[in-house]
Amino acid sequence: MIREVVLRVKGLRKRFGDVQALNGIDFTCRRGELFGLLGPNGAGKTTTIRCICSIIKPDDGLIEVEGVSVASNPLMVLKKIGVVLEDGGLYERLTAEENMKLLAQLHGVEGSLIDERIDSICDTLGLGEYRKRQFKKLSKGNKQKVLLGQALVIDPPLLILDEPTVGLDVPTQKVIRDLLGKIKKERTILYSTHIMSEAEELCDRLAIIDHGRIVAQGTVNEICKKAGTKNLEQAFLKLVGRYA
Amino acid sequence: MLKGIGLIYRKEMWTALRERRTLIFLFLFPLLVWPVFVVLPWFLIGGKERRAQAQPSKVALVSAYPGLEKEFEASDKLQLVRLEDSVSAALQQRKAHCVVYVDSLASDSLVTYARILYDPTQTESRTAADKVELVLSQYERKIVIERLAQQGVPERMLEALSYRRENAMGQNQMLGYFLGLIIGMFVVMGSMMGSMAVVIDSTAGEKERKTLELLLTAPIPRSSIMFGKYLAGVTFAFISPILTALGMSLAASFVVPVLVSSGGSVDLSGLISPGKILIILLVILLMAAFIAALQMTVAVRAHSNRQAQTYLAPLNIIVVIPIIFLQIIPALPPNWTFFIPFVNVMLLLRGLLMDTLPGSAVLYTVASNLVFLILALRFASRSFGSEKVLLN
Repeated sequence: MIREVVLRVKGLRKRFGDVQALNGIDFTCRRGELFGLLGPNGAGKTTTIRCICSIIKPDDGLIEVEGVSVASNPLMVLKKIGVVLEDGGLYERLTAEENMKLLAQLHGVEGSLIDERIDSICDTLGLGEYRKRQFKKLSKGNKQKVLLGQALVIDPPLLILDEPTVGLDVPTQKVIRDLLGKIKKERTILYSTHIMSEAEELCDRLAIIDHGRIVAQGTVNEICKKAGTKNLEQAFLKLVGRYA
Repeated sequence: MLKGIGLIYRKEMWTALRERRTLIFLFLFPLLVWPVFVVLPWFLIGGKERRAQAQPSKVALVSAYPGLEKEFEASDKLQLVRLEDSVSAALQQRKAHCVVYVDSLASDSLVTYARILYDPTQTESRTAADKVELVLSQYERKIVIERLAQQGVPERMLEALSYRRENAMGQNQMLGYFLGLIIGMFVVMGSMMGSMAVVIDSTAGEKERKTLELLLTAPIPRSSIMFGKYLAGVTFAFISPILTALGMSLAASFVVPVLVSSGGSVDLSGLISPGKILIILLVILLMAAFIAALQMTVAVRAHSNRQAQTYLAPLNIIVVIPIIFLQIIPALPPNWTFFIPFVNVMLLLRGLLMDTLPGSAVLYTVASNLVFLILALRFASRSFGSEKVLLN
C-alpha cells in the first residue's frame, strides 16, 4: 500500500551570497515514515529544514506539507510541524512545563489538552521530577528531552528533528531513539543526522545530501546497493566523495 | 494575530521579571539609587553650611586699627586668629577661614580700605567672608553715626529706605522648580535603562540562545512576534520613568526644605494638577514607545547580548548629552527645540513643573514623538522581516 505523502520537497534552491547552499533538493516523506537526511557538515541539511519551517525563504522550489504550500500558506504549514532545531534552546527562566505550554499555546492547542499532553510527555521522557524546574537548571540531556517535548506537545503530523542526539550521553540517546521508534508509526518524522548507526537503526528511508544536492535516496539497502558497499557508512563516504 | 502578540508579550514579561538585572534597573535604580544620589549632595552641602553658620569663623585680621579689632573680638560669629603663614597657606590649611587686610590711612582720609581674602571653593571660607562683611558694615554704620553726631545730625537721617528680601515662593513652587531642574534627565535615562535589558534579551539574547529560530517556527505572523516583544519593551520603558519620577519627587520633598532652610519635608499632594499629570503620562508613553522601537531596531541587528550593549551604548550617550547640556540652562528654549526627541520631553516636564511652558510645546512634543515613533517602528519591522538580520 502506498502511503499518503506528508512532505513534498521539489527543486529547492537557496543561495547565501556566493554560496549555493541548496541546489535542487527533491524528496518526499510519507505518513508513518521516518525519513533521514544524512550529510556532512555544511551539506545543506539545516538549510533544507529552515526552508521547510519558513525560517528562511527558498529562492526557488516547492515545499508542501499535507498538500499545503509553504510559499502560499506558511502559517497553516507551521501548524502541522513540530521542530527540534540543531543546538536549539528554550527559555531559560521558564520551567520545562512552561516552555512546553508556551509552544503549545502558540500552536493553538486547546487549553484542556495541553496539560494532558504535557503529563503524558513527561511520563514518557522521564521528566516528571524536572517539569517544574527552570530550563537553565536542567542537564543537557533533560534539556534535549524538553526540546523534544515541546515539539511533541503540539501533536504534529510532521516532526522535524535536526541532529537531536548530538552531544547527549548514551542513556539519553537511547531514550530518544526508543521514543522515536515508538512514535514513528503515528506520524511522519524528518530526521537530520550525521550519525550512521542512528540512521541505519531508525530510518525507513533516507537521503544523502552533499553540496546542496541529494546524491542518493532510498532505503539503507538501496543506497548500499547503489554505492556498491556493504554498509551505510561506506556508502556515505563513497557517495560524498570522501572514500579512498 | 492579537492572541500571538499576547502570548509573546506575556512570555517576555514573565521571563524579564524573573531576571535580577531587570528588577534592579526597574525598581532599585529609580526608587533608591538615583534619589539617594540626588538627595545626598544637598544634605551634605546643607549640613556643611549650617555648621559653618553655627560655629564662629576663624578670621585673621591684619590691621593697625584697634577699633576694628575690638569689633571683631566682640562678635560671637568670629574668632580672631594670628596669621603666621602666607594667606594662601593659612586658607589651605584652614588655620584661618578668611584674612582681612585693612590698609593704612592717610591722616586726612575719611575712608578706610579693607580687603577680605577668602577661598570661594570652601563653604566655611565663603561663610566667614559673609560674616566679616556683616561685621564691617555694622562697624561702618557705627562710625558714620558718630561722625554725624559730631556734626549735629541725628541718626534717623541715615534711614531713607528700609527693605528686606523674602522668598515669595511657597514650598510646593520650590519643589516644582527643583523637580523641573532634575527630573527630565532622569526620566529619559530611566526610560532608556528600564527597557534596554528587556529589549536586548528579547532580540539579540534570543538569537544568541537560539530560541528566536524556534519562535519563528510558531504559526503566528512575524509581526506578532515583533509586537509582543516590542510591547514588553514599551511597558518597561514606560514604568521605569514613572517610578523614577516618583523616586525623584520623594527625594525633592526632602531637599527643598533644606534649600529654604525650613526643615521637615514637603507635602507632595497638589504639586501638579490632574491635567498636567495626564499630559506627562501621555508624553512619557510616546517617548517609551519611541525608545523601545529605537532600541529594538538596533538590538535585533546584534547577534549577542554583549554586542547589542555595545551597539546601544553610543545611542544612550547621544541621547543623554544634549539633555544634560540643556538641563542646566534654565532659560526658556526656542519653540523648535520641542521637535527634538528626548530633549522635548525633558523641556516639557521642566516647563510643566516650573509653570513656564509655552502653549504650543505640548502639541510640538506629541507630534514630534509620533513622527519619530512611526519611523522607528518601520525600521524595527523591516529588521524583523529580514532573514539576514534575524539569522546573522
